[in-house]
Amino acid sequence: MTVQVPENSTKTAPASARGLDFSQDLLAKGWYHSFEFPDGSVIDGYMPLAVQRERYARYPIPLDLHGKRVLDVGAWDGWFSFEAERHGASVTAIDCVEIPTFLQVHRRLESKADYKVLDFYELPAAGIGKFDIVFFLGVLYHLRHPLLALEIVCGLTTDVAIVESFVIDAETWKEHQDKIPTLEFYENFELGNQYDNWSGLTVACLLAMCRAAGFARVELMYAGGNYAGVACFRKWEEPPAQPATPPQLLFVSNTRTPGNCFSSRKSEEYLECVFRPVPDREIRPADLRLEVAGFGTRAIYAQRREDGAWAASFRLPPALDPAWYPVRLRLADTGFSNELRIAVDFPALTPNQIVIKDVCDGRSWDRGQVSHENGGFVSFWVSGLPENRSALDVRATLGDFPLQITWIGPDESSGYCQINAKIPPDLPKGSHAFRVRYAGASSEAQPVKVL
Amino acid sequence: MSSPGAIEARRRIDFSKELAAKGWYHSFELPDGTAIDGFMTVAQQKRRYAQFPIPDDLRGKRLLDIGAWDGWFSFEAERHGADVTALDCVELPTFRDIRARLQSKVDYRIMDFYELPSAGLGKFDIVFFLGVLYHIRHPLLALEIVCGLTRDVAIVDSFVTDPDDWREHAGEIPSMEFYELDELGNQFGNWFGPSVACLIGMCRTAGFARVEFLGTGDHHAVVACYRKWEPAPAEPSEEAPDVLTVENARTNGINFSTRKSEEYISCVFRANRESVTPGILRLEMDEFGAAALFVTAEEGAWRGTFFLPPGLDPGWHRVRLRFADSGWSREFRIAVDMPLAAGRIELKGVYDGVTWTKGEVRVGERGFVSCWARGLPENADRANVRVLLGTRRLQVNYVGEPNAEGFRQINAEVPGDAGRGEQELRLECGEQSHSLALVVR
Repeated sequence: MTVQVPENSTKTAPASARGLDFSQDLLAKGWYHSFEFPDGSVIDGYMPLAVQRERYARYPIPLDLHGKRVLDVGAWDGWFSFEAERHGASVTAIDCVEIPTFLQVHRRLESKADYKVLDFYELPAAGIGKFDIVFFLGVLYHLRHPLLALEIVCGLTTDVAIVESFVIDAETWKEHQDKIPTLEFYENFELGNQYDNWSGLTVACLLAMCRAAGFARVELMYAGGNYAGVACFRKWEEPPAQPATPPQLLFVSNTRTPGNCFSSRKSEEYLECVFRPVPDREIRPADLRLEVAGFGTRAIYAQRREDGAWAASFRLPPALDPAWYPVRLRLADTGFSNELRIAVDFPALTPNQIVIKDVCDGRSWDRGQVSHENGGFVSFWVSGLPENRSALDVRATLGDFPLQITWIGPDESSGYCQINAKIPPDLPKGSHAFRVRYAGASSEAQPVKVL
Repeated sequence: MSSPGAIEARRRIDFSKELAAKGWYHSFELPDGTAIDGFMTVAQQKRRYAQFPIPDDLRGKRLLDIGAWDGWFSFEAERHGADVTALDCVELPTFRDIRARLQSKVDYRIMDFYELPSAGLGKFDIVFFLGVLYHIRHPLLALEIVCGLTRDVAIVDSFVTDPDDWREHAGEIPSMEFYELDELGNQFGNWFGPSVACLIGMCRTAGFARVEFLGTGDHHAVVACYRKWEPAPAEPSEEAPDVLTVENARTNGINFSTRKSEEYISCVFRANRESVTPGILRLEMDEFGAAALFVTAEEGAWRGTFFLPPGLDPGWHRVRLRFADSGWSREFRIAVDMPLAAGRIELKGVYDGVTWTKGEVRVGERGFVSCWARGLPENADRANVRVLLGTRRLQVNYVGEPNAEGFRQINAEVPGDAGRGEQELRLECGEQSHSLALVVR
């Protein structure tokens, strides 16, 4: 929605600090996009046809879009929608208000583009599925929650999203790459004399936000004038033709709470991966290519552990449906590792029977006891837990005292899995009944001595 | 914009080692005389609390503490009599420890911030939102959520980038820094650093009626965000505005949807005064105030545009307007998230809106039709009542109140190029409709 400051407004809008008020121009033309119809007639809009074609030609998308689904978010008069359709795509175009000019061109071209009028934030729940390619052109700065908007766009994309936006430093961004990315906030009419422009990002901020939104790779296509275009890929580049030996992926856990269960309702969900490069070498986050559910996700950090293996954390890709998903890792120059799997939004199932095999002090490994002096760590082995297991569902108690679960391992060949926990500092010494409960099922009690 | 070396300067704001050494963020003086020495001193905590514009006696008040950490502010509010709900994204044993030692009744909940609106907690007279904003990926959305949970005042305390010199660049466009990784304080999970002006601007934009700057301190600023207007003057010096219409700026109807990210209220009023500026307008929806974005003059009246405040429950809401120096206007009603429950629609008659000739309309450059219909739902409006001439949808200009027999007048505009001759005029609302014949001349 473009709402102009009416000329007779008594609001003394701050001098349109960012200028860029093209509303008069647009009003005179009546059209934002230009068109050339098959019969040769043309519509001369605010944006010249040559510019539209030049922009489209820069997008890293195939010439032949047959079999591809394209979403055009904020289609306006629809040139980019109809152009993608002309290339064979099955197109869905959305806008927040119905634009009569879009419908007019839609009729003239006998287009099959599916046109929907939706609020942007209604998109995830609109049941329109996912799209190979998403156009997100000139919309970002109109939205109140830019990073959320990019997360939503990422969640709707399976291959590439084209993000074009107004930016505040298109001509000068290279000169201050050593600075912290910023965005301007427009409370009123500061940008272009329109009150529904909310944020103006720097080029660096746009790139960083696209990465933070969950895209695997983000490439600046161009920056100039007052806007920038970015290609945001959900997948990693192809592995090299002659890949080096892949790393060994040892373990995947949720950094919020130990276990292989993840929730798409949490705003920030991270995976921790433990792996060993083969042969061993130093690792930087930029070397890592994690794939979850077929989508690439970037490393936030990587560090070597005491045992020599590496641990790295990655953001869970957005908008995954409830299911089990494969996780695999490669380095820039290797093929993919072995696969492990994680559960997203899976309910905990009640086990038939929980059996405790061993309980021992986590430092001395003495059986049947745990010592405050050793730090109060306890390790135990249980069988009967379902494969999706989260520390939030496992309840281990000594007497009435709940233990804090610090680690849950995978099933070992014996059928048992190791769980590490910490006992509370005020747990009295002496013998206590040790129990493990999971989703309504409980083990037998086992005596454990606290020293 | 940040200066060179800015990243290093941000990295140095790192208190994690000190915090790890202390083990506590908040300090406590417990009734049995024991003291817990945390990163923040008790004196600092008390100074902050004293700065909050809230009553000393909080009995009967519901208070929400978002991101309570060790809980000093929760327990302090409880000590003043409040019924406190404390919230964190992970369970902190230190909070539990103090809660047990104080035999506190604070309701402690673990949830993701964005789960708050659907958690069924209800609204709170007072919300503490202390040191949380910059940890959140969607700061303006977060403030909207806080606003929607607040009935009276929210205290927003956040890291800011310019606590010491913000007044010096008050004329610049407000901005915030974005931290992709651990640039701020070497910590992941810090996302935004707003300037003081940006923090204040976002609080206003989130939907609070009034936002007051309380102060800045070491790397942070505090603002009080009010949902209500100050009381109307006891002896108003000016006449109250004469409100003519209150409508949705998007649809021209009276229905509003909280699922839309931006809903604006348009209010047309007459004023017996020289000039009207946004700053003197006080719109009120039930108890909540909304500030004006802009005002335009139109045909002897004024039109003010306001952001629909967040957190309105489904149903009818009273709307009234005053000036800073006047009493209240008469009341209007708007419908929020109400279903459209039409009964059987009955059209009584169709008339030319100018000549009042029954069954026909004369169209020159354009024409007008008026009709009377019964069975429309209470929240029928210019957007959800559809008038079709043949297959062509007409613009509805007016939906009147029901008369004694329950009939409502509906006026619509017929475009000049409408087909002439006898046509079907169809009125639709919800799933219901009724048609009559109309001759277009």
